[in-house]
Amino acid sequence: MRPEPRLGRRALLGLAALLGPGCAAEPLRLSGAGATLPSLYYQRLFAAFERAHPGLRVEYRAVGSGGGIRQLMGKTIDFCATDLPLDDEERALVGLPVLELPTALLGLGLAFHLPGVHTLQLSRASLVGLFAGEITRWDDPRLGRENPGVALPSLPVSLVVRSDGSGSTAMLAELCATIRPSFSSEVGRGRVVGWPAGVGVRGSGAVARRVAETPGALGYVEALQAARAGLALAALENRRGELVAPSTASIEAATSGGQRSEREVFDVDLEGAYPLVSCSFVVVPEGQAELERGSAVARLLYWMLGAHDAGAEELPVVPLPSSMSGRARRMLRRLHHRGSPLLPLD
Amino acid sequence: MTHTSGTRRARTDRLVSWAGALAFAGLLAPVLGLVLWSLLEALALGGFELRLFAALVGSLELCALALLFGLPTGLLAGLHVAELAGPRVARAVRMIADVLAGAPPLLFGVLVHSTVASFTGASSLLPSALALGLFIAPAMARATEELLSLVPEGLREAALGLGLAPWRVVLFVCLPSVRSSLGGVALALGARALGEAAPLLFTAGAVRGLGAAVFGDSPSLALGLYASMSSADPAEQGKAWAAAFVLLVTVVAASALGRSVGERRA
Amino acid sequence: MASLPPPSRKALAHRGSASGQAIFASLARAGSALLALATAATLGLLVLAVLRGPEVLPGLASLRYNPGTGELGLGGLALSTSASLLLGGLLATPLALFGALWLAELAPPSVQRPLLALLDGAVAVPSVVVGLWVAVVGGAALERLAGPGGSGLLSAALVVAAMSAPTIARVAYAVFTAVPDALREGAIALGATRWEAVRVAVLPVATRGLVGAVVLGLARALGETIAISMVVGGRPSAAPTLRGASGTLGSVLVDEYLDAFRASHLATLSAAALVLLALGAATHLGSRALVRGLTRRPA
Repeated sequence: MRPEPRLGRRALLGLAALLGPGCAAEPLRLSGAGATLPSLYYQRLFAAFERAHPGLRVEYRAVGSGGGIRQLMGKTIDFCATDLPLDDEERALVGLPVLELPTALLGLGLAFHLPGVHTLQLSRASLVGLFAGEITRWDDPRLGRENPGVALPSLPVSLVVRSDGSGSTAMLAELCATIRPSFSSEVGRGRVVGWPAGVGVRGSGAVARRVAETPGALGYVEALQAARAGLALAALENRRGELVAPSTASIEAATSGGQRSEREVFDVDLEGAYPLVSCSFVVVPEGQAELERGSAVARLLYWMLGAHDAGAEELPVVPLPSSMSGRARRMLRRLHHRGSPLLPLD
Repeated sequence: MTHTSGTRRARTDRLVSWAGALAFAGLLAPVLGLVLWSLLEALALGGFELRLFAALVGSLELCALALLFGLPTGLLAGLHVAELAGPRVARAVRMIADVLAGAPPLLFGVLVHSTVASFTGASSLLPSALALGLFIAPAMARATEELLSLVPEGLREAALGLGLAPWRVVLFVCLPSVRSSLGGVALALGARALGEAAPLLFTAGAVRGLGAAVFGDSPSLALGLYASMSSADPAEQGKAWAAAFVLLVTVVAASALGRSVGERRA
Repeated sequence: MASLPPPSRKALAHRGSASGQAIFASLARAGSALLALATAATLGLLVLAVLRGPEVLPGLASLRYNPGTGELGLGGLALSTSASLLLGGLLATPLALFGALWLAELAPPSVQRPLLALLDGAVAVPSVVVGLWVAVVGGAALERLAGPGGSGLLSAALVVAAMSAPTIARVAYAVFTAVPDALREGAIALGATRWEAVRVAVLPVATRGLVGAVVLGLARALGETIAISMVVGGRPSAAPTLRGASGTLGSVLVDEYLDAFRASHLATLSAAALVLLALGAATHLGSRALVRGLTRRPA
């Protein structure tokens, strides 16, 4: 969002740097990279943070969670952002103790495009059946039984999936594998999987577009944004057997009022909880090598976790319940520079 | 040869001529169709905005920076091969230039992303320009070398005979004699670079559409178009078509201009 | 950059300074060295990434590609890449060669220059625009033919054809115009029509260069990874078929490289990049060798 420094300004800055200190105080630049989905939310937070802290700049490159992890491994950034908690393999790859701080909640919705049909309910079995390529037509009796009174059209199911590596893919594949363990060996798990059918497009916007254009389409996109864009989203069967449509309330229900750990909000056994819920995380090394930079990182994260940003309603994320962000703030005490904590213990 | 076979042969000749003209039209039809189609789509979806031309300026800026990296490198390498290097070194550099010229431009993005881009923070201008410069340099090197080989030997010898140092002969006699052709090549390469989005995919990170951030994280019209076209928002699609139109017209005009500049031999 | 001042009196006055020659030589050498460095860095980077995940090497030729299950074979992707190239080449070649032949040999001289300028413009058409068009127009048509999802490979072949045809025609034009006029005139003096003169006198001489033109056009299309990834359907795990979505070596790079972080995944993608690099270099070098000496001006 922030304008690229124009060439002229860049040249001036360079000149100022050459003329030495006193001309312009070079701000401290913190850099992060990673998840695309919450990037709009982050950009907005960072812009507000920069306004409140004139000496600090925060640069964020939305290269995807995997790219963020890769850059954190290469130690070229201060923090990375992911859509899902790191698994053991990813933690091992990063190689140093890190804090995973939840920043927001995400819900993944299954968007469908069926002429004349506005509500769709999917049991756990049919969800896997659809994405394993076994249910290929919308008038399949299995779907008909679950949607009494809904005239499902006689159309083939056109799956719309992500072709680029994505946390959304990982989330859906994880749910499918939870329901049917053989799914992970047949289709796969992780950020890129081999969907047995459908068309892959790049980015969640493209999924939404293709679903909107294709009768019979079924795709997965961030739920709240898709609903705002006018896409119909399916209600999914949660672990309790309830059929729950994605909404801010049903996504927050997965945290049980913020009482659950941020790593355990996915497919929970709670009343009214939507199953495809995750946290966005900021991942930052616990031990900070430079004192000044480390304390700036700590300030940024502390500020982010306390910023209950107004205007989030048009963003593709749900702000964390305050008890959860409070816990995350307390986690920040573990940030240290050579053993001494970077934040005062309150 | 009888009279009838003569008319038949003449008719065949005419037929082939017409068929050839048709084939050539078929060759150009997609381009003209594209220009027209994107114009109509953009108008229908209301894609033309002032911001678009701001994006074009940003794109030209990136392109200019890329040329600044790519042209001197290519020119110098071409001079090296044509004027200085021994046959074995010349063959090696020529081959390197051909390998680079044959490499998918995407790979330059991979290279810059894995080396330079990590150190330049969130700004994408410099890495993007470097990647595009790598795309320009090998082609420029090959063109320089080939153009220099066309310089009449007599001109070179006359200049050397005047007692000029060899490097002065190259810089002040040989190069100026092909400068309009070189200019044409440079213009055509700039046009190609302007439309090249693949390496920027990696140097610019994920880019939102043209509407979201024209001056922000998308300095390139081509890359912005790529991002906008996959948006669900019809307004954004309109911008993608409008960008396609502007890009097409600019690129086609620049390379056609490159041709006419190149033709006007000094 | 290219326009340097003509030999001035000042330049002539400072004749033969050894340091000038040394500076010139080292600058020129630096230019070549930069190109060599870029090549070495690209190769080194990719080879290093492959070596960081050596466990993928044995399975690299297999047909199954699915990072989600750890099947990392590039065979299927290589097949669909070459299939789309061949198919696209078959579509583009007749049109491009015949069109170029007409422009060079049969077209009225007055239209030659403007049409050549247009052809030069067509060579530079950005691939994203072609991709956008094929995705929207071709995709819809193919979906009507091949069912939902259309045909990724046919769409990719369309992109290849659209991207390579102008380049093929442009190089072929240069090859035709390089054929000495004496050959044509001889045939015409013997009573041949223009077409007969082309067939008898020009085509046999130009054949090698025309093959080079086609190879160069395909080399160009091979590099257009982004346009192909826009239309191929984004499902590289699918077996290469003509129906439905699929993937190519270039499309997985476009889609997955930025986000990949596992050593094995990166090694596979780097191997795909190396294959593309080798193919691109081979086709480019090959076409150079075929065209060499046939064109008067660099195409």
